[in-house]
Amino acid sequence: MIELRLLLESALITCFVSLAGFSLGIPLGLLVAVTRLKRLPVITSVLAVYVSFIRSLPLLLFIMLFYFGLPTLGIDLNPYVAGILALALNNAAFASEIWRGAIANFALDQIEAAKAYGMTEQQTFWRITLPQIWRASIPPITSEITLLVKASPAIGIIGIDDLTRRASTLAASNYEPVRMLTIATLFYVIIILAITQIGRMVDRRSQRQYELV
Amino acid sequence: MNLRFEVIWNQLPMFANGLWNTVWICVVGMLLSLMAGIILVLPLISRRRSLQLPAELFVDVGRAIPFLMLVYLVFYGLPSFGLVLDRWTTAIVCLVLYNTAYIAEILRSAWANIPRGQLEAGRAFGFTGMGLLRRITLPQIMIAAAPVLGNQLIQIIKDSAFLAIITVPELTHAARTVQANHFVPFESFIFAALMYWGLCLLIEAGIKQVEQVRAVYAKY
Amino acid sequence: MLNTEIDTDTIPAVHLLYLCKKFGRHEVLTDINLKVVPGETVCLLGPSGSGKSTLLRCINFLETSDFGEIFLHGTRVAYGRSAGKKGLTEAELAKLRTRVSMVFQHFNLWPHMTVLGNIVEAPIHVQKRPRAQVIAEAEALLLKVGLLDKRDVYPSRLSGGQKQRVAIARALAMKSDVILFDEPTSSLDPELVGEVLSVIKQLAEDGMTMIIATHEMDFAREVASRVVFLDGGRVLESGEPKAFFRRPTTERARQFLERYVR
Repeated sequence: MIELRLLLESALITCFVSLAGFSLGIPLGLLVAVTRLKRLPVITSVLAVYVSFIRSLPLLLFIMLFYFGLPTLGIDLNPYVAGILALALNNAAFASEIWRGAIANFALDQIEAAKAYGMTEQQTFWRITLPQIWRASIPPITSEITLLVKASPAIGIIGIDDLTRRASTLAASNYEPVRMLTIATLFYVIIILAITQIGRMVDRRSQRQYELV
Repeated sequence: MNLRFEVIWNQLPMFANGLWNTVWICVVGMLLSLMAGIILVLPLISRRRSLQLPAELFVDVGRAIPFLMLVYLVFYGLPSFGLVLDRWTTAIVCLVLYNTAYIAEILRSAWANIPRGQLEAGRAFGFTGMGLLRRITLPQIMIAAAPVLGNQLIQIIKDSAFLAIITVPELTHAARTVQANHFVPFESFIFAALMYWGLCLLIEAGIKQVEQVRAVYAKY
Repeated sequence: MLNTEIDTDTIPAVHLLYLCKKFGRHEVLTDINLKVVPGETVCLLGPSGSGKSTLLRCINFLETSDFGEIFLHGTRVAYGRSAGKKGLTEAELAKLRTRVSMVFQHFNLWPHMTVLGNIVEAPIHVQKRPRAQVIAEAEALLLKVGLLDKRDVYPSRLSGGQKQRVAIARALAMKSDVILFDEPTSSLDPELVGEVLSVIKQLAEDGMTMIIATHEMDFAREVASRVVFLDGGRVLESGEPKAFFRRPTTERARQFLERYVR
């Protein structure tokens, strides 16, 4: 069935765009969080505004702003680049809040031990803090990734044939909306469940590694 | 570069109308999903597995479907079953269907985090069944969940932008219309974005207020 | 130049002169003078809040002293507030800290590293010593504290006493001049105290230089070469443990001992 192949293909586009989005967004969020905690005069406020603004901005509007709006300012992006960048910037704002909370709540004892043993601030962050907060942040980061996948249909508005857009165009052309949309919905459910399962697996494995269970 | 913000100024009524529609759709959607969520949380926290399972299935699947997909299912799918909803009804129905699962889950986790002793105290004083639920359990769930519910309202507002695609005249749709008519994409989108921002800052300020009130309860 | 004649053993490992520390307006340490020569085991005694922990933390630069001087092996490393932000950079402080290592009350082992990983972490990554050599030394230290079989286990699997023994091995691996113990047995279940104290006692017999804040009076009497009694942030008594426990000279110390010894 040709439609199934087309839907599967667009499901891969959804996966690819989401993967690219959070692969950029999660480290970027860490960078934002760390920079904000450094309390640099102007940069910290700029980042606080960025996070607050993005968190209240509908992704659909953000993507249109990126793709249709930026050319006014002389920045012309290809739809994939615009879509992935918008997803990444959106994801980074949310991820930065997760990282920031994790860093702020990190046990002072641990940092003191590192200090007492002569580690510099940077060594402490990379060798002691990050490996621990990374593992603690797996569940909230996983749920942030599923939210990203569910917000990704917004990229359809700039012409990327993701799963939702493909399903709706197929439905309009073959007059089988229920079948097309149901298949696409099933794909989403599978993708989201897969992500949650992978997240749980990674979480459990890291806990077992620490021998916490 | 030549920004024409005066176009936005002239189209202000259009934006104001869009903002108003966004606000009322979302508030109505929130209130209805809150009611539905309260009903759905009852089987979730019940001890009977036969009640729990279908509710859990609804919550898990409900949270795995993108909002826009749900909008398409209702708007383009339901007519095949002879059920044609107009855009406004579609909007409300989708918001409620989508958010009920989330809100039920928020309430359930608030319930799970209430110290057991407080509920036992209710039982010890002779509250049972509906009385316990209405007088002791639910008020505590609501107090515990209030800030998270506020965040969910922000989420609803952001999701409601997708309704522009089925031409519900809310804020994002207003911005699209203005940009299409006057070709001012940057100006109109950034203006709408700022309106969303202001709206969410307002809700966040409200959440802070609630948290302050709640801090009093937390101390008691 | 004349100093070359002096036997290096007589240069104190740690020497504090008029050390003062305030938290806000509250003076927690006042005019602390303390000389610890290599091979000495000094036990800091005193009621909770007497400043024992703060004193140790000043020696390790986890706290910045407000006045006075700190000498490590004859080198003046802190003078007045110089160990603070103005005087020494974070990197210089880090380097100084490797000359004194610390055993914490709550162990503060790094949970994401194995027992061996905890021990070799700072020698490899801070002191930049060759990995193979550090690992061999760490294994010898684990044997010494009786935990070689726990080499590849994560800290969450250890009992409190085992954790503290690993923490002691971690401190030893730094090959620092002095080891500071901040109430090493205070957070342990009573039945686990003995195994940790016997390890520390072994170190004392080996001639390790140590400063130990503790509430274990029997241990102090038996192991310390000197006890220092602190109260209200001041050194009230300092001397031979036998003499101190038999006949304390100050009223405060007498009261303290009455409460703590049996």
